[in-house]
Amino acid sequence: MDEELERIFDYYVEDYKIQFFSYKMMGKLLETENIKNRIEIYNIKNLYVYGGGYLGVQLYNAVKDFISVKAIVDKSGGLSVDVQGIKSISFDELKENYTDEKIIITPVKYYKAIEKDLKQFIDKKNILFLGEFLEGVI
Amino acid sequence: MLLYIVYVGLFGKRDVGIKKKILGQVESFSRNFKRVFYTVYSGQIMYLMSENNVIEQEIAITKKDCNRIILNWIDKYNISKTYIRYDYADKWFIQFLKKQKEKGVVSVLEFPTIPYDNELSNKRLISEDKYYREKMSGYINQCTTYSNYNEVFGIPCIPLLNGIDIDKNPMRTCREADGSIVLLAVASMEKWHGYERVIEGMAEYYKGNGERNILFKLVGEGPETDKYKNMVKNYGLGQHVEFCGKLEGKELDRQYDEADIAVGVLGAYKKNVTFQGAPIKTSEYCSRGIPFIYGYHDTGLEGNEYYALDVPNDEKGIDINEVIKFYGSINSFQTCAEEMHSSAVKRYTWDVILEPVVSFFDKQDCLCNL
Repeated sequence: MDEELERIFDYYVEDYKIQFFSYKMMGKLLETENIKNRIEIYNIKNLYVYGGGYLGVQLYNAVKDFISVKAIVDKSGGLSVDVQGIKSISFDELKENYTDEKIIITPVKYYKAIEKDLKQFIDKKNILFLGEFLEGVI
Repeated sequence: MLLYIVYVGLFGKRDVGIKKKILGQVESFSRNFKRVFYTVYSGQIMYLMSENNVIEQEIAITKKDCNRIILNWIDKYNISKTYIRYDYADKWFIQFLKKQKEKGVVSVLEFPTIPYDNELSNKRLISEDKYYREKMSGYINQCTTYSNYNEVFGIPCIPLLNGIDIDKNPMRTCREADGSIVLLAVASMEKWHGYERVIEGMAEYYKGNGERNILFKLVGEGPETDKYKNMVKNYGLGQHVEFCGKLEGKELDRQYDEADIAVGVLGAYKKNVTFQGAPIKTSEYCSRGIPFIYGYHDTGLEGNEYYALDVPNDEKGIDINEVIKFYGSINSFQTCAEEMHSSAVKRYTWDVILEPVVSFFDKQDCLCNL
């Protein structure tokens, strides 16, 4: 296989893995007992959800009865899912209003870039990746 | 410095068995090598751990990410030896083996199950693994497994038994005989445990007017529990089968004290009719000192132990009359418990089991120092 084909193959694998993990996490978000347990372990009282896609909105729905979700944060400031009644804010608004809440990043593919942006004004200990929140070692 | 590489999670609800095993091995390696690290992959994060503490963590979506991260840790922590729990072979695993070999890392690969083809359900994974696993022997000089093989995929193999923590599996105190026979299964109730065979055997026994009071206790829960419960209901065996749920510590010890015969793996034929291995359950039953029933080729047993009843590895119900005969053949349960436990101490500790692996690493060290 030449180098270009190898690269294409790698991209396919990466895309497949991202979809696989997203699907798996959608499923894990249905496990209410685990959600409650993890909220307790991480001692989350107030939360921002990063990502206005399916995973972000699903996470919002999974935790909203147990903790206060301040808003869903998305670079664009909106949600890419057609739902009503969920407050969404932009990255800049988060920067202005952030105090000391936990934030969970939901987009799998762009996690690292998002984490880097958030670390400019949020302590690392307050930033969680969705997979980490659901299944990570504590 | 040794790194034990694991590509799965260890801390989930269903990971109790694997966690027990890996941490037992890690502890044993720690007694032989300066420092032992291990990896855990959970929630798409690769963790580097040591003595139950997270040392490093990094997000890893693909196997390529996992291996890149591990290679960085190998450099950062001067790792000279790796012990890898085999997951499956792919392009990135082969690349990883190649790179660690180039770094001079001495490595041993453990196959938790051989053959494992029937355990993979994904066609892509089966093809991928079959293609790449043949390339592993170019980069790995030693492997281990729990079956009696001298070689696996062209790699020389050390056959191992499944070890246990003897302190956590203390010898039981046997109950006074009262005419009944109490069977005990302690398991995560997966399909290969095959306990439906005991339930069917009991149904057959009582249908044939069997008079002995047989009580079957199931400790633990898993995917097959509901199936077993339905069978018990349909056969009207409610008085003879008890589901105890998950038990640990003193409560579990008490169940061993109050039972007569344990039930090992009876559904191995679902994996492979010629299945051979050394399930951890056998080691635990030996350490507890409880005679047991099993239905496969156990590589840790001679096959003629008076405390173990070997039944056929098929789907047929267990012949309860055979079990009664087996029960009657044990002269003293307390003496039997003592003999089994003392044999377990000699054979089933990780220090004893991993001794050939440690020797392999030591020998490689000597060769490097020449």
